[in-house]
Formats: sequence, structure tokens, C-alpha cells
Amino acid sequence: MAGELKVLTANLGMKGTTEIDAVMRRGAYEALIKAMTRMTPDQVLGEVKAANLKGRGGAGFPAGLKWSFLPKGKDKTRYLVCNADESEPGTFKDRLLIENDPHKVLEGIIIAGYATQSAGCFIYIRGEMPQGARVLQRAVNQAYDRHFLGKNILGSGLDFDIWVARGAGAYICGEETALMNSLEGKRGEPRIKPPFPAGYGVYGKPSNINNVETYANVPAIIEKGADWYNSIGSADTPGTRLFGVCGHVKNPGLFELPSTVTLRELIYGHAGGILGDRKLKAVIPGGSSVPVLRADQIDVTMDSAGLKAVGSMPGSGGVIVMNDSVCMVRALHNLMRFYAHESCGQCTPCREGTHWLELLSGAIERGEGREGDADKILSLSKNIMGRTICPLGDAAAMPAESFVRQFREEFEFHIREKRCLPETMRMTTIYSA
Amino acid sequence: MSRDIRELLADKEFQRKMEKLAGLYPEERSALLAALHLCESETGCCGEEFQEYIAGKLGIPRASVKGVVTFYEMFHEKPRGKYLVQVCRTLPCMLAGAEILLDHICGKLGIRPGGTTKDGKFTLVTVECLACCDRGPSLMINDTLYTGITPEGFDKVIKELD
Ligand SMILES: Cc1cc2nc3c(=O)[nH]c(=O)nc-3n(C[C@H](O)[C@H](O)[C@H](O)COP(=O)(O)O)c2cc1C
Ligand code: SF4
Ligand code: FES
Repeated sequence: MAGELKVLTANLGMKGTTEIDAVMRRGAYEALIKAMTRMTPDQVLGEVKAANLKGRGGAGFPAGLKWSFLPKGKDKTRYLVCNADESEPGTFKDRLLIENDPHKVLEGIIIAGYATQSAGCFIYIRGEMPQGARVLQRAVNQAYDRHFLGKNILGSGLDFDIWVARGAGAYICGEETALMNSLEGKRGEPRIKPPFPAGYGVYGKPSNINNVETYANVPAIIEKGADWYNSIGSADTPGTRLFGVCGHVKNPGLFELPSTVTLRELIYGHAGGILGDRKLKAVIPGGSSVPVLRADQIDVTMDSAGLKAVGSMPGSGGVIVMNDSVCMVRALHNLMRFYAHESCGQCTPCREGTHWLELLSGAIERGEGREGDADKILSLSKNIMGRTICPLGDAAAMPAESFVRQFREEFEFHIREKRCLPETMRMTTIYSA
Repeated sequence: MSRDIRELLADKEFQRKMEKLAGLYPEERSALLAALHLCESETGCCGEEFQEYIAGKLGIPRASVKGVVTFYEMFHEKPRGKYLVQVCRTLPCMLAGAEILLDHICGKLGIRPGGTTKDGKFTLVTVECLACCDRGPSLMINDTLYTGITPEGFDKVIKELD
């Protein structure tokens, strides 16, 4: 079994790691100093591109490539955005990074600011993380005091600021353009693309957005180089990834591993196996928005290629494990209620579709399902996919489609017998399992 | 918490904080959410009077401010209880027993989600994933996060609130 490799989480579990002095004794900001005093912005960009750093927010887009989309030139104001909205069910990695090692994130952001010659970065942190916002603001102030932020940083000629902004409870604000509207003091409604943020972002200025974990990867890439980075992990997702395992496992938590780790190793090795020594039934491998897998599909690596082979994707790295006490209809209904609640309502397929998916799955769960309802879920999902302004529609359709496809018999049993499978009748709790 | 809005608007310290917020971001309107958070935590809501005040202050149309207040889950137009109990009910917490916890809380406080106790002390709401799914069930009371909360654990927590 592949062991944990602590690059991003090296400081987690240590004392005092929110203080700049303490982390500087452990090497923080050395990569920043290296980048700004010994490398040109283009060299930094080249290194991140060569590292093939993949975005960790869900879609896995190459970060270096995205940075290179920003228009160049001295006169243009460019902004960076750090997406710390972390609201994808099952995902809890960014919270841990921010609350325990904020300087790692800041260092990555400032290096990105140097590479792209940007004016500053907005860190948008979800409203329900007031503690994280305080820790971040304090870390930002410390970085200003040390002159890692502000005017002419380290004599490089770069003026760069960081602004911490809080969200206010809306999953959709994790979507990049909704987030930008929210930063501008507006409702968090996604914008129609194109134009893409690289051309028209915050205040209409060229902007680049990355996830917290994506930025946190940058210091090690600059410090140790792209070759080192590529020697870890898999070809499609080099480096380490933060996998959060939750649900019915004995040892839930965050694990930093190369994505060559298999889902089986993650669940039975690192996370200690299934709670209550029951059977594994289902697992959602990358946050609630990706297709669900059955217990016989876990012998795959946790990179894009491995999960694609079984019809899913790595998403945000949040692994939700369900044992055989879970009613899949009820689990789907819970998720559909989530998406229906979080839909911003701009597009008909998403607004109406998620609502109907919630109603249908709820009706089946209550024993009010009718013959053909399982197919209705499938056709609803199909009619949402790809027909909306932002990917929230797809994010609801993918679990809906996959739950029915993978657990069709359980859905049919509910519709026919008007009740749950015998082994799933009891409500499950961690305490009683 | 639960200060009168008029008293708040007249408070010099509060006005100073507002000035600071307005100058915090490259453009003033970006301070809107931060200002609303401040009002929520001081008065327990963001009612019409504050909406009018902040619209003028940041140069945003009143209707847009109202649109923002009603869009975000964490802002309320009407006052809520002194303690806002926010129970996560998303799938990972559900697997950890959130539904049993929620049933217990409803019974304990004698209200349904969305309701406020008669003495105005507690408002109960359900919320979505709070990003600590490995330690569920999770809930927040005002700004404080509690994880791995059992029904007995909840009783203890609220006993310690004044
Ligand atoms: C509904 C929705 C919610 C999202 N929530 C988040 C989030 O909480 N955090 C995040 O980093 N990305 C989230 N994303 C993805 C972002 O839109 C964007 O792709 C990402 O921040 C880009 O960063 P990356 O390239 O570093 O992954 C969400 C997307 C959608 C459609
Ligand atoms: S897909 Fe849904 S959330 Fe996204 S813009 Fe359309 S209605 Fe809003
Ligand atoms: S589901 Fe409750 S914290 Fe994630």
C-alpha cells in the first residue's frame, strides 16, 4: 500500500503553524524568495506548466496553462482569485489547509501573482468558516509585515495585495463566475461563458481562479522542480492529492497521497475499513457531484484515468463511503434536495430539473413511487446535462443518473414493494454502528 | 448581538468600522457582504433600515441590496433568535446520524427547522455541508462549530449557553 507523502500537509498537526515565524523556521517562503530573486516570471510559469499541476477544485484543468491565458502587458490590471468556498459535500481539505497552514496557501498565491504579474488576489472563503477567515486575515497581515505583500516585493518590482472576502452561505458561489459576482457585492449567479474569466473576471478585469489546494502545490514545485513533481503520482495527475474520506469508515480523515493509490487502499488501508465491519455498498469518490461506484469497482487508481475506467472522476477528492445499511434511494433524495436547494434558478433545466429529481426520489423513498419512475430520473438527468449556464446542473444529473444505473434493482424494489430493502430499514448512526 | 438598529447606526465605533470596510477592497461595492455580516452579528438581521443605509454608503441600488440579502442563506431580513442553531443535514452527516440529532433538537427546543423558540433564544435551521464531513454530525451555533455531536452532547452545549 502506498504510504502517505506529506508535502501539502507537512505542517498539519504541528504547533503554531499559523504564525509566520514558526513556519519560516520550517522553510516557508523560501520558494517565494527563490522565485522572485532568482527566476523570471516566465521561468516560474514554465516550471508550473512543466509540472502539469492539475486544478484541485473539481475540474482538473492544468493550472499553468490557465495562468498563461491571462493577457500580458504592463498596463493591464490582472487579478487572481483563490477559491476557498469549499462547499462540495464530502470535501473538507481546504478548511484544514487554511486553518492549519495559511502561509502555504499565501506563498503559492504570491508566486502565482509574480508569474502572472497580477495586481492582487481575492481569497473568497465561505461564510460558514469565520475561524478560517480570521486565521487567513492574520496570516495576510503577517505577510505584509514581512514585506511578502505590498509594494515592490523583495525588490522584484511587483506590487501585490491580498484581500480576504467572506461568502454568506451559497454553494453556487463556488462556481467561478458566481464567485466573482459575489465578490462584486452581487447575488451569486453564474455568468454566461464566454467571456471567460481570463478575459473578463472580477470588475471585468482579466482574472485567474484556482482552488486553495492548487495554489498550495506551487511552493514545492518551485522549490524542488517540475521533474521531482512529475516523479510523484500518476501521469494524468502528478504530485500528491488531498483525499478526505468520510462516511462509514473506521478512521475517517484527510490523507495526502499520490493519486496512484487505489480506492480500495484508501478505504480499507488508510481509512481503516468499513464501520461496524459491515459490507461496503457504495462509494462516491470525488465529492457528491461525481458518479457513484459499487463495491466491486474500487480496484482503480484515484487519478482521472483510473476513475474514468469505472465511469466516475476524481472531482474534489472527497470520498463518501456507504455501508450496506444505507438506502440508496434515501441517499439520492438527500443529494437531490441539496442541489434543488442550491440551484440559483437562472436556467430552466436546472431549476425545474433538480426540483423534479428531489420530488421523484422523495416519492420513491416514501413508497409513493410509480412504475417508470426510475426511467423518469434517467431521462430528467439526460435533459439537464450540458444544457445549463454553469455545471451545477450536471453536478446534480451525474449522481442522479449513476445512482439509478448502479442500483436499479433497489429503486425498482422501492417502487414495487413500497418500502426499503430489509437491511436498510434502520436509520444509521455512527454511534450505534 | 440583538442591538437595536438605530442605536447601531448612531454608534461612532460602528461608523468607523463601516468606513474601514468601505475602503478595504479595490471597489467599494465589494464590501457589501462584509457589511451585511457585521450587521447580522450586531443586530441578528439585515432589515430594511440597514439595507437603505448600506445602499447609500456603498452606492448600490436599494433593490440590489435587497436582492443580495435574500439570496444568501446567512442573511435574514427578520430578526432571528439570539442563538442560530445550524444543523448540517447533507449526506455525509446524515450517514453519521444527523437526522436523529435533528429530531432530538426539534424535540428539545420544541420547534421545527425555520422556527424560533417563544423566548427568542433559539432559531433552528438546517444547513448544507459545513466542510468537516469526517467528524459529523456537524452543527454551528452562531459562529461556533461543533462536530461529532450526539443528542446528549447537544443538551450539554446549550446548557452552557446563557
Ligand atoms: C456549483 C459549483 C460549485 C463549485 N464549488 C467549488 C468550490 O467550493 N471550491 C473550488 O475550488 N471550486 C469549486 N468549483 C469549481 C470552480 O468553478 C473552478 O473550476 C475552480 O475553482 C478552479 O480552480 P482549479 O482549476 O484550481 O481547480 C465549483 C463549481 C461548480 C459548478
Ligand atoms: S445550472 Fe443551475 S446553478 Fe448553474 S446557472 Fe443554471 S440554474 Fe444557476
Ligand atoms: S456533510 Fe455535514 S459537514 Fe459535510
